[in-house]
Amino acid sequence: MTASRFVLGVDVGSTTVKAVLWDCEHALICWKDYRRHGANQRGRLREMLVGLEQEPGISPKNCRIFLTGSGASEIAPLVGGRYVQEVHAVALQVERSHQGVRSVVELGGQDAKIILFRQSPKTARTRKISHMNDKCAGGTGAVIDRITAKLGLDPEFVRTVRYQGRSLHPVAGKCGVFAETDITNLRNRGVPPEELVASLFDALVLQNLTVLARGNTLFPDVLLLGGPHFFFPGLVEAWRAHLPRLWRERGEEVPEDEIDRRIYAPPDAQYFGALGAVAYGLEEAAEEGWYRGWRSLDEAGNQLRSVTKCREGLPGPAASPQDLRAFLEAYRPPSWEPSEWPEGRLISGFLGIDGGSTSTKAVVISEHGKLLAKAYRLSRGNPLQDLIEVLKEIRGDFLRRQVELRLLGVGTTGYLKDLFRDLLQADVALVETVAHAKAALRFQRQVDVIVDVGGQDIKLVVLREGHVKDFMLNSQCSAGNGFYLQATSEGFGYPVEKYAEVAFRAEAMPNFGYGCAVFLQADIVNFQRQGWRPEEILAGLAYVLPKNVWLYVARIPHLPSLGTRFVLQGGTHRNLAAVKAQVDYIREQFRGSGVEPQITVHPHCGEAGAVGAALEAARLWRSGRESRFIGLDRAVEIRFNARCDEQTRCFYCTNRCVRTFLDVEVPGTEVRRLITASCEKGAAESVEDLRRVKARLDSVKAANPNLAETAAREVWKPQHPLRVADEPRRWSFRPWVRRRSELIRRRGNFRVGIPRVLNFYQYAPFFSAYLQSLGVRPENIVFSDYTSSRLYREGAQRGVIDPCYPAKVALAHVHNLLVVKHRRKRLDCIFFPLITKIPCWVADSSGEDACCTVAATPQTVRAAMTREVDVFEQEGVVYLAPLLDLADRALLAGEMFEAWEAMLGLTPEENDRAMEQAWAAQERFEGGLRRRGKEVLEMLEREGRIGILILGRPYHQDPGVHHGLFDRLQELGYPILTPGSLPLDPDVLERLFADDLREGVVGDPLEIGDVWVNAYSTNSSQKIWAAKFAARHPLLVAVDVSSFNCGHDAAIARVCEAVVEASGRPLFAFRDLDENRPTGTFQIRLETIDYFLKEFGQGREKGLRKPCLESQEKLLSSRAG
Amino acid sequence: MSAKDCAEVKSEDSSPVRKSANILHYRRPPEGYLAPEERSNATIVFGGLNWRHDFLAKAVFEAAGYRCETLPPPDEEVYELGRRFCSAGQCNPVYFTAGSLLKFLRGLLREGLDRDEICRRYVFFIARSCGPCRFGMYEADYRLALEAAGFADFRVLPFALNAGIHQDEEKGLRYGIDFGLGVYKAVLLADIFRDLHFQIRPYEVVPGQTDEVFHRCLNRIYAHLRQSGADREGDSKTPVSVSPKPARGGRWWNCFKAIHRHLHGSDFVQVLDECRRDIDSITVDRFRVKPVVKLTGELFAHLTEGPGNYDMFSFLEQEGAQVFPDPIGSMLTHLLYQRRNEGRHRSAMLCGVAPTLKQDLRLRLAHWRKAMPLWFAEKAYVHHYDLFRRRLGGTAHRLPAQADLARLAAPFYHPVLRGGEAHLEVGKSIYYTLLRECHLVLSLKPFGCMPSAQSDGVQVAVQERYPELLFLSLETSGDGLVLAQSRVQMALAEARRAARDEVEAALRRTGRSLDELRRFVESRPEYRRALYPVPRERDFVTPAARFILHVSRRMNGDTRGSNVAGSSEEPSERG
Repeated sequence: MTASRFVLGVDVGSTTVKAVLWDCEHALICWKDYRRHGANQRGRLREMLVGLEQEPGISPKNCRIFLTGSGASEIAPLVGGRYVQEVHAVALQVERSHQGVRSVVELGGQDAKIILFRQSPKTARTRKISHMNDKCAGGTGAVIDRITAKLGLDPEFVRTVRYQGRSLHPVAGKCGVFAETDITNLRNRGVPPEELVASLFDALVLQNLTVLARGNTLFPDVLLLGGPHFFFPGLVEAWRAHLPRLWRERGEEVPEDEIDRRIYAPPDAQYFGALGAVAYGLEEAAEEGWYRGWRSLDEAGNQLRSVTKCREGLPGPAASPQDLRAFLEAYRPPSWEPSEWPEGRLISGFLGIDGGSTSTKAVVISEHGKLLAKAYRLSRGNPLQDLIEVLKEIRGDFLRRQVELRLLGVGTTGYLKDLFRDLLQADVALVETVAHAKAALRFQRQVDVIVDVGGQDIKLVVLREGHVKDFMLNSQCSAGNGFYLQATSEGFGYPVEKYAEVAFRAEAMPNFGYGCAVFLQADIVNFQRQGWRPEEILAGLAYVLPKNVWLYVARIPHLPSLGTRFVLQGGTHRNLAAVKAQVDYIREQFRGSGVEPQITVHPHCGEAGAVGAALEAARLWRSGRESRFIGLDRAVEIRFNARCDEQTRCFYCTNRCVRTFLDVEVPGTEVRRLITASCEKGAAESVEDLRRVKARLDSVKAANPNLAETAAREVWKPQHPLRVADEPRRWSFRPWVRRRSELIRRRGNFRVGIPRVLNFYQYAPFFSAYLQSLGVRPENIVFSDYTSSRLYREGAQRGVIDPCYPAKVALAHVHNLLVVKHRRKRLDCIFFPLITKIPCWVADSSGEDACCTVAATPQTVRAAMTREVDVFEQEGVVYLAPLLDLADRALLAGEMFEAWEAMLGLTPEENDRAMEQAWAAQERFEGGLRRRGKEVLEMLEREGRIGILILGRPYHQDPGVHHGLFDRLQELGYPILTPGSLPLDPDVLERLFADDLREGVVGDPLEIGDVWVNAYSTNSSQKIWAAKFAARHPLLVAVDVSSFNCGHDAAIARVCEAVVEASGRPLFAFRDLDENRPTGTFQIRLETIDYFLKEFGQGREKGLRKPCLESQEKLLSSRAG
Repeated sequence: MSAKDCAEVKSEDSSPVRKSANILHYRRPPEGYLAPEERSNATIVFGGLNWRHDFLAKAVFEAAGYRCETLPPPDEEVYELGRRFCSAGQCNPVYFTAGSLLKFLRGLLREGLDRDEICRRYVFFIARSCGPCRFGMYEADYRLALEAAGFADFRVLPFALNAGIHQDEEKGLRYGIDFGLGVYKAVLLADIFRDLHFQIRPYEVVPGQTDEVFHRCLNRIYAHLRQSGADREGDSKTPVSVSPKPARGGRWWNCFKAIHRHLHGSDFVQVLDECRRDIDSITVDRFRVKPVVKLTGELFAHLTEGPGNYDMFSFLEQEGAQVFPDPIGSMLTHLLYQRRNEGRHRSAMLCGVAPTLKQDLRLRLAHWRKAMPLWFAEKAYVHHYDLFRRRLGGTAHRLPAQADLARLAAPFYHPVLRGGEAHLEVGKSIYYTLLRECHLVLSLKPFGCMPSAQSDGVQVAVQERYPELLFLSLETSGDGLVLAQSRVQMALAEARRAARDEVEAALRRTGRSLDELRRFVESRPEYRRALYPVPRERDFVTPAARFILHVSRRMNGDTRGSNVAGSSEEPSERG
């Protein structure tokens, strides 16, 4: 076969098609093109090929074609081309044209890739290490696209934004959807667009460095490829700001003036895939990849479409026209018309305002709860202006109808509820979950579950007898929200109002896998490639929404366990396609159970929160509350000035948050300053204010001991063991004795670094006492700093894997020991043992295993710190990671001896003595904590108050892991206990477990065999036992905390829930603690817990919780006896 | 107690919430068991391994007189069902297995059986274990899923892995020596057949021939296993055990006879020979250039052939690779080794601080008494694997020595640290790369698998130490298929390039053209037989490259290093 005249390289990406044509005769690129395909990859390629056949005249006789990119593998055979994997293609082109490059970062529409070229000294071969985003599309071009669209910014403007010299704000780069939330919040706080974009660039670079690079260093030269690097110079600048810092830290010195030359985006950055495909084609045999013409693309595409739909699709949303008609009749929202009144009439009502993240809503309801007026406004970047506009709309509505409105009460809700309350002097700021529950119960007496799907948030509220029993909010992931439907619909050219109409036309739809919203985008591209039409894709997307809500976000696979009466609320349920999907999904879950679920859509689903707030205001008015509302007329005349810059930064703690100052002028009053801050201290404007706030907090804390905080503080304190070390010999003939004596003398100055993580939160006293008893000075036992986001950011970039946060942060602690502590004063060793077993106080446990992630973390830390260069060796520090079995004292003695013998010059006898001291210290620490726990319980019983028992693992006491959650609960007025602080005294146990013992369910109060049989993991068994304790103590409410990705907690979550809930109390859960602190959702959860506990306390007082009261009385009487 | 009585007792007790004196308290539903008189009537349902293993294990159950059914193969529906009824945040194996079980039970409902009847007639057989990962807690989730799906009284029979041969036979199955040896043989053979299947299929000349032959062979083994447990005892209905008072000879003698009959009996040898001949009849084209991909990772993820690992076996073959699967045997021998190693660690640590020599010696002796049976069991397993492997042509891969794996992994992963595959993944990656047995190590694991994630964490250091190691770790979660495949393609491109380079290098070394070699092979049919042993070449991994060098030597008249299949020589062995 003769050689071809042309070689065409095509890169079919997730959002664009790029192609270059190589003229083999002249050995040059004679044509290139870059087009967005708008989810029509085949169509766009077809256009290109048709054009190329005309000019310069490619044909099946003179052209070979090679395709790469995420969409190429299925298209390639249709045009006769060969598929080349994209990383392979890019790497080929880099090797051909940029030989000095050692790192490549390619950001695509939805994928991000890093290719590292490493010269192996052993094999003299260049090895390519490549990584690609696999679980999440945070850090890709899609995030920029979404946020630009959301902020309504002109892409041309984004291109001009520079990174250098801008103030940067924290933006979560972990998830594109949450980055969006942060950016929206920052915008609402008045941060200018240039700073928003620069902060976004910063977050993207950090995301790629911490997650995608998987601990590898991106050594120079660094080539930045892909559309985003080509189009946004600010992004390239962000790389130039971050990488040199990393190089310096890892010993790669690059002069300042060379940085621009060593990190660069080439002019043809977006064509590298296509160029690589050409390079691949030129290396291939001449018979490979002959172009077959574009017509086959069309024909095969049609064939593929029909086959795929038959095989893999689902039937469309409407089984039949009758089915659709019946559904619409049942669920089409009744049209709402404002009431008509005679002119001049005085109308009394209550105003409810919902200040949400994406919109502001206001309603007026009558004394009887009837909706009189409503207003809705999508956020335009200034929440106060949005508020004024909706109030103007409400006021205008009544003025137009020429009736006078007298507002008897005002309630606010939503994440801006406190600000609005302060501004308007409203009567109540009601937490969203409760507001939604009230709104649902107003329209339907009996409700079990409220499904509220908004633009960004998903809230599921579970009710029992009209009270909030449980609630779930999306805090780590926003998959399943309504904004995604809207964005996709608009992407296809349909306004969201037309969504349902279009989707109902589909006779079949693709079966989307649920999960990350950004991967849904990948699926859309894939389905389009297979020939699915827009209406079919829209229908399929609507049907994935309930799966995302229930299975991915809320993780409730078995709906009947929640109840049978469902109310759908939230703006997304204005879309009837979404409603049909929800209805079908819920019904499907009940199929075969013999129960028919009752599903209704709230008549004002978009404004339900505001309705709930107004209802609460009405309730307060009825109970005699006089409203202090400033009045609508004055409210719409409010003038304000928002400021959020360096001047507003808070210096009252080390977090140094930037606050928002709102100078508000209500007509007829003086200018007032409202401060929006992330904590109570931040709301203080002056030192006097701060003192007042602090004094209040201190008194609350004194009245409500927080034993999690106590444990987390005291566990690191120096111990006071007896000194059991041998005395060094002054002189000896024997060299080994001389050597040992020298080691004993050295102990006084021997410095040990210990990371403040994981099992050390329980066993630090043991190790401290062991070392101290052998002569190591307490000040020479150096713990890393407490976990903080800064410590994590600085030290986690070598991280390779993505386990739970407590394990992930360990690397940052070791980094802190090396980079901060060791450099301040030299450390001799870092001690981070692999703890395989932990003693368990549960009587019938079948094993005492530690979590395997926790146990193995020290060796993954070692791997990360020694991979490119051995940092420990470089710094002259020994990394000591022995295997330790804490559950077997004899074995542990041997293991400790083995670990420390050479370093401290131990003898077995000396080791035994130190072990005794260590165990004594550990027992003192644990005993002290339990004693305090007993005192707290006695206080609760004496004062008849409720305390919170945290069902967590010891490392959840780390304030950086629980993100201040326990302190917030304490500040709300609840004493905090932990499983480790529960008293194990026989008198307490006998009182609580007397019934179980009498019935013979357990033989020992410390058994858990009655609820759990697979009790081999110490922390899990102890957590379950603590749940039993909470279920039996009438004054304890359990809060289950666990880390995102925790495997053991996933396995026991339902048991803990069953144990606690069987006793008639809900189990509040924070099951997704991770590196970022979702402030907003935390706040809502905490406020809901507080609301519930206050209701619970009141109910208890009224005798509604009879069994609990009886039990309490019994408990108290037995104590008295 | 009859099944009916059991069911009645359970229905009274099965309410999870019991009223204590004042407060209602949750109680774990009681575990149902299989009464001895039910054994011959109840149908045992099991599954979740590779279909070959399930199929052969079924024969063993049937041979022991049990009715038996295997779970349907995992698919998307199964995964959805599993996720719906199990706890949130669990790993895939639970979802797939529980989903398969529920799909099976729903199928029975569709056939017209009512729930009570199903609970009475069927039991689910699983392995129970404990250890630092979640595997041991799966059982709780199966029970939860059954309860949530309306089968609260359905019985789950656990086989306690840590109890070994000391199972509670009063509450479950009766595990006799025939049963034990049958399972032993089934696992060994399924592993070897699986290895051979994936070794031959990518090179088959007639599409579908390999599948057809292997199905035939498995059916043959199935028939043999089914027969070998039953006919000796004369009663196919009752589960058999080694009689505590045998009629003739002692108990040990009886055991020895059973072992000999099961593992070396003439009828078994005959079946293996038939299989070998059948497999050898497959025609292959060894000139196809295929990179070899070693699959490791979490046990379920690399055993299952379906959506549980994104259909990775067929995807890799479709992408032009040869799959080198990992046998269950390596996990079994690992468990034995680990127990022994833990004992050794314990002994070493305690001896280090033993106050007297006498105590030191006593500790060492105690360790050896425990370690010897474990050592023997491990050696016996490896020996029988090797024996059957040779009997089936000798081209299947050998089981790695566990001590070697632990030694190689030790600088990175502590060999005493337990949990999931522990150091196995690291050890295997290094082992097979150093042995030049694969181009790419693909480690498959369920999303969120705790021990496997830690293993990945240390693999970075392994790759720095062994730059020739091409490693990809892939988490399978049931979604994200497109990106997962893309990542595999990415790694495969490297492997393919390496394979192609090797073939070019081999051709350069021989100085012959491919056509020349092809013509030679065309004229000699034995080179195209599936079990023709091609010798290993130290510098070459690609089977095509090895074959090219071998054929070229033959063309040069060099007859060293190989013989026809079934011969005593094993040139394809590693040194």
